[in-house]
Amino acid sequence: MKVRRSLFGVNPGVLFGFLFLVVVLFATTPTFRDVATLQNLFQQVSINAIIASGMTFVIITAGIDLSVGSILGFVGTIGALTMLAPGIVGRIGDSSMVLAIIVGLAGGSLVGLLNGAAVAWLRMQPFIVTLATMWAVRGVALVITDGAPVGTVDPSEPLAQMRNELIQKKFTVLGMGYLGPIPISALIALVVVIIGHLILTRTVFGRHVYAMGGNAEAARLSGVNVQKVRLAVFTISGALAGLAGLILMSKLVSGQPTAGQGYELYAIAAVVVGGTSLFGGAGSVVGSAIGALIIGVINMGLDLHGISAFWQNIVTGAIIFIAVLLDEVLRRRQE
Amino acid sequence: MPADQPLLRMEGIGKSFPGVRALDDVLFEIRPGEVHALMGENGAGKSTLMKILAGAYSADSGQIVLDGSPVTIAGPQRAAELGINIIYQEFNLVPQLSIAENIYLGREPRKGLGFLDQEKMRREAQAVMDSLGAKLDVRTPVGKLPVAMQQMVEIAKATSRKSRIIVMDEPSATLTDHELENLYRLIQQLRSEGVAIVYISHRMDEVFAISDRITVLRDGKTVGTKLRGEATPEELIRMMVGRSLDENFPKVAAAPGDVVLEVRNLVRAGILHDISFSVRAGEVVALAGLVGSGRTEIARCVFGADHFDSGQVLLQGKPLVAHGPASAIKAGIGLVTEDRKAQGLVLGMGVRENATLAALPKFAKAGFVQSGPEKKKASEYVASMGVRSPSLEQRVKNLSGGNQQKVVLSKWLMTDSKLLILDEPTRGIDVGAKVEIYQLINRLTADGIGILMISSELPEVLGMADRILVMREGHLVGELSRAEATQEKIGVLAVGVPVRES
Repeated sequence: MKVRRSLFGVNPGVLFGFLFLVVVLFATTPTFRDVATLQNLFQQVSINAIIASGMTFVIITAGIDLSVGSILGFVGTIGALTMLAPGIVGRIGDSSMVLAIIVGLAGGSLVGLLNGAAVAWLRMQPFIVTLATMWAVRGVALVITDGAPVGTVDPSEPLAQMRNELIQKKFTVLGMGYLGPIPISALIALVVVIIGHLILTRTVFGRHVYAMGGNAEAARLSGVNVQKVRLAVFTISGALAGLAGLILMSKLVSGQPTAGQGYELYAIAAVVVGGTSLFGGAGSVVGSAIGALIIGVINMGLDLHGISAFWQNIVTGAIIFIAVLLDEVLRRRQE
Repeated sequence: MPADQPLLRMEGIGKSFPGVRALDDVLFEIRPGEVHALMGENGAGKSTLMKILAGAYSADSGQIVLDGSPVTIAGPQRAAELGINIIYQEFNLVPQLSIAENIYLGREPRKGLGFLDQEKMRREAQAVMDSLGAKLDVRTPVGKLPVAMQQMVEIAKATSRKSRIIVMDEPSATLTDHELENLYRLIQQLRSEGVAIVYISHRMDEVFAISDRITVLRDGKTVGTKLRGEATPEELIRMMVGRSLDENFPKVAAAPGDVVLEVRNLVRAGILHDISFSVRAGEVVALAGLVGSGRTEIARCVFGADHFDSGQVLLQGKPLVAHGPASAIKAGIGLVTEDRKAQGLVLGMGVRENATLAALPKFAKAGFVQSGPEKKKASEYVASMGVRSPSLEQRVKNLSGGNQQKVVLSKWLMTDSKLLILDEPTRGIDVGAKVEIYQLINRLTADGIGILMISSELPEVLGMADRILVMREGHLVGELSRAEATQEKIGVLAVGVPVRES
């Protein structure tokens, strides 16, 4: 028990396996030691880590959020449309980036709020609700863009130079910029994970999240406003998916309505590998971030050794299976 | 066949669970074609005995003799082979499947290659249902039937298995009078075919209407078996409850103070009818009555866990306006629920987290829990309640029932409750820990907390309460002071049999 807590709920077996792998990669693969490789790794992992952080809140309450991948695409398109609208750029210039971020976060939060409202007040199942919004939100992104990416504009268009500079240079800082050697996106992910961890472990709200996931009726009869907690966890998940969507948009140098497909499953995988139980009541944001890192490192290792993406799928599947199996074994031994 | 030759005899049956001796040297005998009523208080051992008969539990000692030779009933399957079937209070039906599919579940008639013989299944199921006088299409999904009809399906399941003994566990609980008549008729029919019926019930009128013999259990022992003709309701009640108060109730009468809780004309449609009462500071008021008489429902309405249709709940003279547990807690009410594990505790959390769950905002600054004060308060309460746990972080699921209950009590003391509702406070708790809980109740009343206690154990009610309110079928039917209350008086009020003047 003590061991598990100190490792943020990540199964020691999974963690040691992972550390062993890192050592092996470091020793055998010269390219893995390149700063550029590591930067690339963290850039890639950060998006999943941010989504998985929000997902962790939902899963601790024994829920699930399938809509986050679609939120990524949706937020990317509304963010890009806001940032690049000639009327906005003409009026407020570079500040349209700030507006885009606000719109993106608000859009993600709104979808999350809708998920939460349906779960809390209409008493619908999280799986069904977010399956529906997964389709619907993706559809909205496709409809408002007509299926086409929103990005670089034709030089003949109004304010083309300003707009192209925004999307091609200035906004790329979020997804591809560095502070010293450290990717900005990784810093953002780090801040998200730390704040998420503090909220879950140190606040009244965080305690209520765990209590509700452990026993919703006991929590309710202890005065916990379980509806509010449900609403909040989905809103947090949506907002963080929105943040991830903005970073992805920055990396893709455009708002792509089809971006983020399948990301909900990567996030769930990271949460599960990170030791959070789908039954609710236990788990940690730090664990999920480590889970995201494990999946990222293994895929990158396979990449560096020239193993095809097809095989990476098989390996990812195997990791999820083994991690959950180890968790189950450990839990049974404790009881 | 000689009717006085027992069909089945259970003798010397003993069964223990951790901390509880559920059955002790029980004798129970069934003759072919008789209706044998089995009575006793909650926890007397009726269900345990029947579960042993059905093969759901195995007895620690004793033997079961069927047709004169001992049998071992290793599991429900074996019981069914021997012709023993039980109809539990909670039905074992799959709501989505049809009546016919339910009746033949697990033993479906087949054609070759594993295909269902739907036609045969439907025909035979229809024949069984018709013979029970239930005019129903057996293709109807069971979930669409009213409860009484579902019970018919359960009975059809039992009779289609060529039962020799059918146990009915409180079959009347959900039936209307008319449906009950049908059930009686059915029982008579089964009886004339030589099937023996074990009929578990609390209701005197029913027992006297249909049974041939009556066996009473108390505290896991057989008190006696009576022929219907030689028993009276008063005698049966005495047999059911008449144990001496040898358990140690360390009751300290506190001087009652001001009224803490006042309930005025509480109504919950169909469940609670115009309930009014009050609880004073330092007083223990017990709600007695049978399971299902509305005791727990009162508790949940007062606490705001369930809604009510009309009436008022006042705490220290102020009406509770907002509804819901949160506002009740804020006003100073705490609820120790009947089902500790499902409703009282977050089992996967530690002692500290459970103890502070309701009072958590008190330890918070700007939403952050101040872990220092939280730990300090938790260890203070845990110590003063006498919770025995290796550490504050021990998961409560690993604690004994008594210690779990003390954690729940700590939770409600931390919120500065003025009124504590204790629903079956000593259920599943061993005898030693029970006394500790009683002593804690004394301490709470000495501190001026009002206690509303619900208990199915009459000795506990008599031993700890200052006043006793008796419920029957959603009505408050009587109030007894500590001085005037006896087990018989409560029992008579609870089951609704008029006391004969002697």
